[in-house]
Amino acid sequence: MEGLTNPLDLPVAEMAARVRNIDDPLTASELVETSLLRIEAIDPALHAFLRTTPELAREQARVVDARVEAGEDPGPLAGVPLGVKDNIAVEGVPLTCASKILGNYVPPTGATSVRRAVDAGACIVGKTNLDEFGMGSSTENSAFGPTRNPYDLERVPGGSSGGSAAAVAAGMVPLALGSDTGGSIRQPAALSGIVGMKPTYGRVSRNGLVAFASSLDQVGPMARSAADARILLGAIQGTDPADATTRDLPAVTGSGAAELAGLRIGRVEEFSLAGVAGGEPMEAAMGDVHKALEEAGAESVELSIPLVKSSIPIYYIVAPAEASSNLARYDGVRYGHRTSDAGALQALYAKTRDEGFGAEVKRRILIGTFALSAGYADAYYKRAMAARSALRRGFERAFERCDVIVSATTPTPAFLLGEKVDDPLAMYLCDILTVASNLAGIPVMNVPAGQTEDGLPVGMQLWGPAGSEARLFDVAEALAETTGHAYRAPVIPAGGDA
Amino acid sequence: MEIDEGLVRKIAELARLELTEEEVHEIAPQLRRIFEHVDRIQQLEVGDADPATQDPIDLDALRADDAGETLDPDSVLRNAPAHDDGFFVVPRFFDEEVED
Amino acid sequence: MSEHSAGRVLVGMEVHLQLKTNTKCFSPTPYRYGAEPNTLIDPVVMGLPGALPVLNREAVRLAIRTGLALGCEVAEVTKWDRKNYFYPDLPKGYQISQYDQPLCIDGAIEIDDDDGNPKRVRIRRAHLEEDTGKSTHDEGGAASRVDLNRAGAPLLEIVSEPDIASAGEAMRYLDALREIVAYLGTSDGNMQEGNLRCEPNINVLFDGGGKTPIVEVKNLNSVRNVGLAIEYETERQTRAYHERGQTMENTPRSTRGWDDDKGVTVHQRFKESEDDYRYFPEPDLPPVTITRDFVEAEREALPELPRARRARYREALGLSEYDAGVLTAEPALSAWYEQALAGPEGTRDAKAVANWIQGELLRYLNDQKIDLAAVALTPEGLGELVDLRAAGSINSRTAKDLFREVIESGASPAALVAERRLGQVSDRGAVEAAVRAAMEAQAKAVEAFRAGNEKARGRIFGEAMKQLSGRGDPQLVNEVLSELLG
Repeated sequence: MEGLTNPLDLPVAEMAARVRNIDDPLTASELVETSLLRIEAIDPALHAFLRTTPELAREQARVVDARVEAGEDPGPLAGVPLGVKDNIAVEGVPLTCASKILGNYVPPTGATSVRRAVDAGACIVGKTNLDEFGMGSSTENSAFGPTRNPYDLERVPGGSSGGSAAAVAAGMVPLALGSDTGGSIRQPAALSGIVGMKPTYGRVSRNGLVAFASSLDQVGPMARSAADARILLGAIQGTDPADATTRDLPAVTGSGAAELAGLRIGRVEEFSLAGVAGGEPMEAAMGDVHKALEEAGAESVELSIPLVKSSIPIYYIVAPAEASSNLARYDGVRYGHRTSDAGALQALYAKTRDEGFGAEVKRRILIGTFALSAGYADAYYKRAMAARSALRRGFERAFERCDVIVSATTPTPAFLLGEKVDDPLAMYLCDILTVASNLAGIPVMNVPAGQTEDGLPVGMQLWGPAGSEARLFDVAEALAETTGHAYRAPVIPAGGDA
Repeated sequence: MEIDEGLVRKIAELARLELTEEEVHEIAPQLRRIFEHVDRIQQLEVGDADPATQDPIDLDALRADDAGETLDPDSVLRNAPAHDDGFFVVPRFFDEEVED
Repeated sequence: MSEHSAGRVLVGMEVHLQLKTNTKCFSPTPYRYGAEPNTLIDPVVMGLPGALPVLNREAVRLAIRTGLALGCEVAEVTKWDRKNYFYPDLPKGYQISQYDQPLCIDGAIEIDDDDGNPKRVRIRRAHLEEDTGKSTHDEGGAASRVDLNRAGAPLLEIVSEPDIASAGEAMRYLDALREIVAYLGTSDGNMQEGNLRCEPNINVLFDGGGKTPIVEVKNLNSVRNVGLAIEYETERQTRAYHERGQTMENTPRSTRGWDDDKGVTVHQRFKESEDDYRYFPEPDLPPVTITRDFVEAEREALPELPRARRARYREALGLSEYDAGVLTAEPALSAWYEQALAGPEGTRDAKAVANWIQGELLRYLNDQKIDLAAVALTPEGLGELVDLRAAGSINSRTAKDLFREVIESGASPAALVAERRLGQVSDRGAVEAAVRAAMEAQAKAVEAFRAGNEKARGRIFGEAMKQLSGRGDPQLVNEVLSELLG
């Protein structure tokens, strides 16, 4: 078996170790070529990538291989092919945010997270699909067409980091960068059966991440295992002089499994899916997980954080309010799309933005503009921000009584393409289990928690207090050992494995 | 509070979005439903919670006043929809037209 | 003025002051006036996707320093807000400014009113924000052009209460502010180059409580134009009030632009209601704590301000109003004077030092068309010269000769006097010898003098001084001469 494993399917630590070993024939270049071939074979069925960057990846691989030959250490991600969500800038590579408004924009500098991953040896093979500007939960809001779920091509991969999730789930890349404003890493990770973490707000630099909602956005890792995700987060974390909101937090390093015995596991009443239509498989899976934890000696703590019930209303004021301001810069003056039909300046603005933005983005700009407008800001924006502070304190109190909160990630498994596109509120309610962590600024990861009877992945979330990512990874690894739940490669009808 | 088409048009103007009549027609009921849901926060007991999301930092933590790299003007203008002689070009406007 | 009954004009001043930092408010790019378009830009200034603002500490310090000099209170915690509006020279679609927690509040600038009495103009607030870019418009063409060099330069917006009661007061308010920031070194305060811009809010009050609607005037690029605009508005608003019954109640506030060529203000637009800027806290920037220690250290470091200095010159040093004014008009000259005043044995004769500066130094600068920084003479050098004269070590002619030399060379006058033995000869024996020699050399003059020709005495005196190489103590020479001539 061992000899038959494609090197691209190895754990990241092993893959990089082999590349770093001068006596091992595996090279970064070989990994990059394998990844590019898989993308070519599989991606037409999935549309996880908006573009591949073969020249860039090959050049980065050459650098890694040359460093190994020169006796240098190219880093913990040596030769590992990386997908980058297309709202994160890579220098010299067109940046679209899956929107028409950016036109042919090419960023003159790259994101700090990308630079750090490349400095650690990663090779960027392409830019992945997303809901336009990260606004959506299905990747159907991409101006360039949806991405499909590798486990069922009729279903969505989740969103907004659906391209990154599908790319990792389908084995095209072992690692991908996503961004999470209200669940955009964890929800697609759950629906696509992989691991994804939204770090503590301020752990990863947002420099070069195109802002959706600045006080909620975080870049994070998507991977097939907690161990792989930990390595990527370890490479991109840390304070950045170019992002004033980065914070000095305990570093994520090493590896290992936590002792589950004695661990206090929080069960938050408001995260229960009892009675939610379609939520039965998730409730069942969560029941199994809690049972396994108790059998392993963990202590179960029942909690209530009442404001969690209001997290959707809070989120859908705060996030669109910030978005309406963040997206004002797309005006057709300095870069990006400009209407060909502008007479006067006001028409240039209004038509450029009407042509450039998709329906969901416009909807959120309108919600946010209204929530901030004179006469309404007190009732909406200010009130939501005050509720947000109270919610954050609610989590702080909860973590005085437990070490980790365990919950489902999504109310249902992956839904069908087109199922919710005409009902924005129904789509927003998908985020019920994820947005609270962004509002509270705390780290939460999705890990696989089994499958439904139809073979669709089920995910669960591990929540920790600010700065506790290392602990969450430890718990995730221990939990995977105990439950046996892990990433399982999908069978993709349209593609052969390279 | 009732979100009608007039209000949608007004917000769209503030947001510089030129919506078609069809779009206004479609979006108004959507926003109405969303705000019916969102209006739940009016009932919340949030007291006088501090709306700040971030803790203050010390003055010492701010950036030192040292010059860094500027962008090459060509790389900037290359992305511009219209430029001339180093300037970005827009349709002629009058300062009083959209006074700040 | 028209023949209508005059009202009382009230002016509140909004000043935007560009702070003198090396780099912009939120990114590490310098700003220079007059650079080629779009050459002083970076991703933050351009509002590129993914670029984040990072606050410049020095901008905050200069804002605090200025605020303290204006007598303001400095906030313990201050934060930044986004002011949202669309404009071609506003790259992000919002300006990073301060809304409800400004850095500085409640200060004042003291000026003279029209009768010369001191008057305080209260400052409501002073907050830090970023500048916008600049648009230019093709005359009669179809395009406007945008240059973002200025975008992101740090501005301190200083808002006064409507305490200014005349064009003259407004002009003195601006002059005082410019002078203060020049002393502080926090801004160049140059209106031509736009690093001080002001927008007066003007209306007129009449007996019985009638008020004209407030007008904000823009496009003012000199202190003089501010005065002219206020005079123009006072008259225009008075006429509109009497002839058309225009009052604050029936007419909205408006913005008018100053037309420099015609010397009039031109209506731009009404402000129907407050503009909807949708302010909210800037999520990219954490709030900043300003410690009291920092504020106190900055307060300690404040220089004496020009108005206080003038008062001290008049009251403690006994200088005239005029002299005090000349010596404090420029911070560099004033600092020079202060240094020249400070002698090793305490303050030198203020009037003597002032005379040298106003007489010789300023004349020299004027003749050579150079400024103070280019002069070789140091304030200590002038101080030595004053000391040498005061001690009677050199006579006034030597002093003037020396001045002309050291202003070019920068050499120490005391050292030169010692080296060349230029010291005044006060030794009685030496003077007697010289006078005797002079009487011998000018025997005819001696005869003439003794014959009653008083004028001949000057020739003998001159000869004696010549014998002493011009260094003779003139008083002693005269005394000896009188004795020997009998």
